[in-house]
Amino acid sequence: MSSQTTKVRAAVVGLGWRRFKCRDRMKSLYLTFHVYLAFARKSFQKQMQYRVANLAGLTTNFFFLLVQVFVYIAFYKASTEPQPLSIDDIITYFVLCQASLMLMPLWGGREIADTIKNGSVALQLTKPVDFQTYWFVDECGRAYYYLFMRGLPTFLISNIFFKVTIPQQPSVLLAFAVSMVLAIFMSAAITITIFSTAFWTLDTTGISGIAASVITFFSGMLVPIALWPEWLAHIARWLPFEGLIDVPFSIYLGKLTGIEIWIAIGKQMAWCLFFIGFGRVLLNRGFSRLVIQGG
Amino acid sequence: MIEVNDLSKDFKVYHHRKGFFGSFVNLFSRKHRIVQAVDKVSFTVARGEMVGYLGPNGAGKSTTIKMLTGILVPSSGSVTVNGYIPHRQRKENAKHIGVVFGQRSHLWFDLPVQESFELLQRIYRIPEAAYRQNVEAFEELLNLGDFFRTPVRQLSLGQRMRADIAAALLHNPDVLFLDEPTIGLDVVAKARIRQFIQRINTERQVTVVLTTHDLDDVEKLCKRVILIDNARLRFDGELTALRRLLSTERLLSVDYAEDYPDVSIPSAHIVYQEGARVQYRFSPEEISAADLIGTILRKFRIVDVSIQEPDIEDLIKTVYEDNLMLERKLTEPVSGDM
Amino acid sequence: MHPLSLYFHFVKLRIRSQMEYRLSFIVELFAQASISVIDFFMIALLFNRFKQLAGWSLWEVGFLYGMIGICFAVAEMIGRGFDAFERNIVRGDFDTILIRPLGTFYQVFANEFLLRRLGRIAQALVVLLIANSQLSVQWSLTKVGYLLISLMSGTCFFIGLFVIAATSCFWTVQSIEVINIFTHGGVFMGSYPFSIYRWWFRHFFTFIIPLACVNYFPALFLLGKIESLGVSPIGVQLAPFAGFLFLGIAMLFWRWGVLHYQSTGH
Repeated sequence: MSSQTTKVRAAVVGLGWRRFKCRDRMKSLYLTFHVYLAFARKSFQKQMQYRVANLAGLTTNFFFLLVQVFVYIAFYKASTEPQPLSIDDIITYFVLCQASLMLMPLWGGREIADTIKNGSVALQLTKPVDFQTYWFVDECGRAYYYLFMRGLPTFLISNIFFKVTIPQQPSVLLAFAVSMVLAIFMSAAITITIFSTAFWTLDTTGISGIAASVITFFSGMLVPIALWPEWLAHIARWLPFEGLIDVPFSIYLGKLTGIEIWIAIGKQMAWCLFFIGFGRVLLNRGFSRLVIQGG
Repeated sequence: MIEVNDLSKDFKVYHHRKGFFGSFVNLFSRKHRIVQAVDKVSFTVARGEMVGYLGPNGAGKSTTIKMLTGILVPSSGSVTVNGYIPHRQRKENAKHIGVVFGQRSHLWFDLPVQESFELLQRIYRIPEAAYRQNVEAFEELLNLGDFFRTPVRQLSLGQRMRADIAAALLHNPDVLFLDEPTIGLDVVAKARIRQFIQRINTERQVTVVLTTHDLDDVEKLCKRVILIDNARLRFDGELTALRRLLSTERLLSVDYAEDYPDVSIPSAHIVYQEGARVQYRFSPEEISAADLIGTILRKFRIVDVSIQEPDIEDLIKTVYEDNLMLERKLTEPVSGDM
Repeated sequence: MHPLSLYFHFVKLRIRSQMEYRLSFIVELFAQASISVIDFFMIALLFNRFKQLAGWSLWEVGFLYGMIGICFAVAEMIGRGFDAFERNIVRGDFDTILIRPLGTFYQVFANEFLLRRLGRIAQALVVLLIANSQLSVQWSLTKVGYLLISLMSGTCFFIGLFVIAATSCFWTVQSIEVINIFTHGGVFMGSYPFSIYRWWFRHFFTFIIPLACVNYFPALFLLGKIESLGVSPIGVQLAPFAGFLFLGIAMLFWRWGVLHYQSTGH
């Protein structure tokens, strides 16, 4: 036990050390960036092997979208009151939802848990790579794969069948892009946080399942938050998960304007930092546990 | 007991298109080529016989066994086991055969051995008395007691194999199919399993068909061997007959007293030469061993000389490599159990 | 009754091995239930805003939702062997099934039992019971029997889908994932009255994939909504048998597929 422990501890300490000791900081940062970019690319390529599954997923996405649209059209037909979102808005909203479904913190992460469970986490710690950053980048690589291979096709095909609105102002599109990137970052940070519980529980299926239901609900993935009763929407506004779906799509639909966009993006950033920080605390706790128990 | 006539099996091997578009096309149409795994194989096995079914990897051994056990449907030809056609009367056939695959267990991964056995008792509807009797006998012969209550997933390979073989015999099958039963085992475990198979065969008159590429298995267990290579039957007969047929070639090793530059002898081929040690291959039909040694003695001074019968490994290699089989001669059944 | 008692023996063994990890079992049960509670809560949210859907009230939809939810969860629980059949083929376990003196369909069916679906079953049952208490259905013995037959038929329908997906493994090794459209997608679309869908969509899910027959039509009959439809009541009453028929066809497909099984390795 002891030799392994020292090794792990040395690695953990060494990592911190290296970071402060570097003289040529800019150069090191650039190199680090390069390394992580390579990881992201690797993760992107890793997904390529699930191409057939992706194709099937695309079909499934489209089917769910179709049913959702039928349901909302029927609801809107029966209602005479004015609604905060028009039916065109709703259709666009759900097209975007299905297109970005795979970017949500619901699918990845199993590998992180496996790494922790089978003990290869100790091996990873000996490498001069930050554990959290590594998996963050890995998750992002996965997300970008699905953004292009699932999201884009879903969006384009939907345009043939439905009336999907496209924002006219470049500033809105820009804000949407920023917000979407933040959503992906937040998703990655949340995934790592969820699965780092593998240090404590043998089986993460339960926890990730409960997390999935909370995320699905409060992100506005099933019903746009604008249609929720006031009191519940209020709760959602105070939670981070709206930043995954509702915020970027509300920006896209032009439901947020001017200063509201800035506040929303600011909130997304804050939550992003929160999850990165929280995840880091959890992981460090986990690592120290690992050191104490010797893997 | 077992009758196989012109049995063939071919597989379709699909060609996968690459790329995103390719995988899409794969969903609708796929190119394939046909691989012949077993090609017109015929043989019969009599009750109580123990037959070694040999061949290199990918020769078609397992495919044949899988057709005999009803796992695979033959492409053409006929099989009967105990009078049943395995793929048509799969369930009936299953009641009368026992199957062991060395590469994987047929037991329930997360159940203790004992519970796996009890489940098999229910599945095969084995009467209580017969079941007790068998379990006791096997417990003793195979030392199952050490791990009888251990879940199968925790067993060592040797233990697992013993459990699997016992499991395959619980319902007193008439035929036992063993596919590589000693693969990956150590010498002691192999010996124990061979001994057990031998006993089952002689005491219970269970017909045994054994595929292996462990030649020790064959030498210790089988009087009769069937050789298969490249999907085709190459030899069917007694091990001694195989040896006799192939022993037309022998090896002569000579240690010369000094390094001669040219040690070639007419009518004998040099297999290898390593300093003063030379090995010749010769055919007794062309030149008798005595004449050969005489010729050598006349020309050179020697330290030592020895003649070797090729061992079975060499025999099989010869069969596979040279294809020297005069098929007519060799596929003639040598054993009289037809 | 040998096959039946053997089946229960298998189930007993399965349950016991799943209970070995009690904590993770309970957490997952809870997770399952929480996902499905949220699922229905969302429907309730929509009704809170829009009041009704094509003439259906929240609890009428809840009735539909409960029915289909029970059917699917039970199918997942008992039909797990087919749902997870892919790995049987990948690992070569199907060889083992073929050397046993029992039917292949029976063995695959009996081999697995997913107890943790109880959470989902409980949630769907609760929704169904609440819906019933909010509606004034005139229950008679016939209607109770009809409900039970419909639930069984729906379960058979979903198992039939699993069987079809499993059978495809004999050719493709990987299960065809498109089946998710009909299973998970089927639960999703079956939770709403069929009248909201376009005609081609409705017809496809009535005559080709008989989802409407095991859920929507029976609910129409039980909730006394047939009159609004203009379909012959006999047709509606006989509809649930489509589920059994569907499973029957799937089983024939299975039998044919088994003959095409190419064991791994030669």
